[in-house]
Amino acid sequence: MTKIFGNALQRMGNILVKRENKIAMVATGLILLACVVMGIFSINGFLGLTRPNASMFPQNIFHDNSNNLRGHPVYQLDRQGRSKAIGRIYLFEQRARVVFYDDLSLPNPAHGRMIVATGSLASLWSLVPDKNRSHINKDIQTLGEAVVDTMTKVTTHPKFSSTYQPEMLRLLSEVLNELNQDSAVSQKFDATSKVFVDEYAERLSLATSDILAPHVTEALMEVVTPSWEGFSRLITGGQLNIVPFETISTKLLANDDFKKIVSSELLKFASDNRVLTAGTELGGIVAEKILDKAEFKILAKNIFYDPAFRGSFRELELVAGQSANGIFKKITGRGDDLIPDPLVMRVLRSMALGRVHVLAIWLPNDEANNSLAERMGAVSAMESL
Amino acid sequence: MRDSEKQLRGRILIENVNISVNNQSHYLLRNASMQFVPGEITLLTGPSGSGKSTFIGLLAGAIDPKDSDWNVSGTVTVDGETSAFGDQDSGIGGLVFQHFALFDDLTIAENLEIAHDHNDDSSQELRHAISELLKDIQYGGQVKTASGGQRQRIAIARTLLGKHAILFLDEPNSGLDTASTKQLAILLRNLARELHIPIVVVAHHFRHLIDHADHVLVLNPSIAGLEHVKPDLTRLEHKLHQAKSNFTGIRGKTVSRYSLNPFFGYNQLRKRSLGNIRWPWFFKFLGRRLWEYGLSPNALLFTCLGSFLVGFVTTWFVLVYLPFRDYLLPVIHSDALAGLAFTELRVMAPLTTAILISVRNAALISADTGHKVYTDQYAAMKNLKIPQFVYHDGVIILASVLAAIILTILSLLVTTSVSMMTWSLVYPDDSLYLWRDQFFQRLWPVGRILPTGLEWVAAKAIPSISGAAMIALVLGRQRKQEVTDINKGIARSLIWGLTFVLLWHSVLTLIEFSYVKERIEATF
Repeated sequence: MTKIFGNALQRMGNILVKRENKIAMVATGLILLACVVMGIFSINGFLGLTRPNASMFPQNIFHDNSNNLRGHPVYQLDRQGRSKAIGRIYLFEQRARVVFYDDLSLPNPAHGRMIVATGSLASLWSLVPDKNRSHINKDIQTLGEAVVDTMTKVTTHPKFSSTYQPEMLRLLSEVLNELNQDSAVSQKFDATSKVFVDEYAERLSLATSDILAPHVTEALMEVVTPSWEGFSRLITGGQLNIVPFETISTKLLANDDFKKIVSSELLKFASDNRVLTAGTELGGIVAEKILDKAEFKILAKNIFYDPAFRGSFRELELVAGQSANGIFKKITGRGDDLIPDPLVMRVLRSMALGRVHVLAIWLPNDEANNSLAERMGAVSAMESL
Repeated sequence: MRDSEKQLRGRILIENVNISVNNQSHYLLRNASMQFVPGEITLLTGPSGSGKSTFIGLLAGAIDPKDSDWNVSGTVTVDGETSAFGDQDSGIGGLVFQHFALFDDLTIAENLEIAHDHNDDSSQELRHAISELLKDIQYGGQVKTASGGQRQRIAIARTLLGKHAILFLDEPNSGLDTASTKQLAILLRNLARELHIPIVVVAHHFRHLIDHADHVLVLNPSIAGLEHVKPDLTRLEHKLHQAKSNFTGIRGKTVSRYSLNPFFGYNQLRKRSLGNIRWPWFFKFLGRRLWEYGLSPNALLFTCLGSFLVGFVTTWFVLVYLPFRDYLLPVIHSDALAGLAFTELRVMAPLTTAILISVRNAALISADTGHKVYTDQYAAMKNLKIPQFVYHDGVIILASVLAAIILTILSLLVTTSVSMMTWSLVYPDDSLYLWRDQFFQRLWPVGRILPTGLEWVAAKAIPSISGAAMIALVLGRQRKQEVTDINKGIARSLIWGLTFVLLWHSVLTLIEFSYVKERIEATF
């Protein structure tokens, strides 16, 4: 047995190492050929044996970047919104050249449109499939309701009214006064208010009027029904009794139907791009101003750690955590399993690195893509190259 | 031609020869003189270890005094021309080594051709003598297919083609029976007469040779001299007994083998050995070495398997076992591929190839060189004026460099292919162009003919592989007294070769990293 094994090894050794052996030479030739062909294929693909499928598209987002010879990836979205790299885009002044990878089923440039945009939160939001959007809306609504619930519980708690409310109102009043004196802030606020007043206030008013009207009427009656004392204050001091109006807010916040309507309408308002932009800036300024105040920090900390509100905040934390996680997954994930999408994650990566991301998406002509094409300004090919 | 000229033709006079070792503290010969006459056979004998082989080695040029510890002086006169002893280019005599020292990587015909090609054209008499000598031998066969007696005759024929003034035979009858020894003696007698050359036979067992000897010389170490004895068995044995009685060996020096300078025989290079290069032989040797070190299926499979492991393991690990893979991989995919390209092609593939090939080739080189030293093939090449420094040492280094280049390129190609295929396994629906765009984005920017840092790959792989080969060569060329010395040489070659490769790669990689200013950051 040992001898047979030894002989076999020797024969194998002769074939593999000895030079005077045609089998070895053929084996060497085959190995070298295979390695070289595989290596060249892995480096160069089909070595230009296939005709490149390229098209020129108009673009006016980016300046000429023709010195970037490798270009940027171009993606295609499937029906579930999942992205897949299908080519490269090279940017020139006012136009972009798109070359599709030739090892995939090649799209016909005449039968589709190209989106060229900058990767941003807004573009990420635009890319979120409708199904995910509706789920996100539900999450936000749930979160909003949880916030309102918590705030209601906290602000209606006797301890809040007695211990924290006066101080909080004073601080907010200070901040608002400061902001009011800032002309830039006022302009932004006015612009946002105008959007609200022009486009959303009436809708909100109509939607809530059925719930609001009885409460307002009741409060008004209470104010205008003269009591001797009240009348006397109005005549002598010019003062109105507005306490009934103040109690309306408490009652409305406890009304589930009202909360749902307000949350829904405010969500639409908040989703408006103009509001998003201005709101983000204003929110930032207000938050900055408030957080600058050491007294506020102490106050907020005291409220948060107050044993009286601990239960409410814990519930909110739980809901907020679940919602935030869900929202993130629905923005970045695609399909039923919400698998993170490469394109979305790349945009997030660029944002994290502070880089400009060239977002290039090829959309085949399909009704399902129309809304995205419109949202993001897709363009047709200028010419096929 | 005058009578005096006739007498001088072919006659060899060696006069006032001194051979000492260890800074002249011990003499092998002191002020010795002798004469060798064409057509006559001289029997040279002496106690074991007295330096007979060394003496004829020096005369034959198989030992170069400048590459050894021997100090020599004296004069040698051949055909009336006198020169300093030990200063001849390749010695005055052709030497038939004890174990024949046939080149076992050549065929019988090639053994003869190489001797013929590196010496002057052979005469009609010589060609006739050789054809008679080898009439029962198949020239095209391998050396190992010939019997012991045939090998001896091939060795004699090859040495005769060396066109020397004298023929030395070192212990030619050591493995022969009585009948074969007698046949050998007759053969030598005929050759001496037919070719009109002196023949010197070094022998311990001279009983069946002495009848054919014209002269007998005894190397007597106790007096450090050569004593002439009449070719009579009784007298010779008595003389030898006397010589042995006061001899305990030459201290501090082993004289049983032809010593070699392990550092490439620079001395021989100085002696115009380069001028004796026959380019067809050079390329024949180069082709064979290159095949062995870099083109044989075994070498290619070594490289391919090593590269497969590098390409597959690194890529698979990053793409599949990354923590928080689902979230992290889409974010870092492009960076990961760019980083993999750097790791695989600039660091891992050259290192793996260098380790595998240097170890493999070091074993081959050390074994082959050690064997050639042990079997006196080295000394035989030198004796035949074959530039072994070029054909063996130079060719090994050159073949190692070429093999390193070929196998490193192969390794880069295979690693790249395997990395791509592994990626394709993980992302079966994606375009391979995406992989190419991201994998090569930093390492091989579009527009460049070659990848960046190729000089670093070359600087790491080629010197490390050829350096390990050089170490194996140096250790292989060290003196080999026993077969186990060859094994020890192989072990040392592996250890030192591998140590050198690892050190070389570590140092160069650290320097290389300090030069990598740009971050391996994705832009595609």
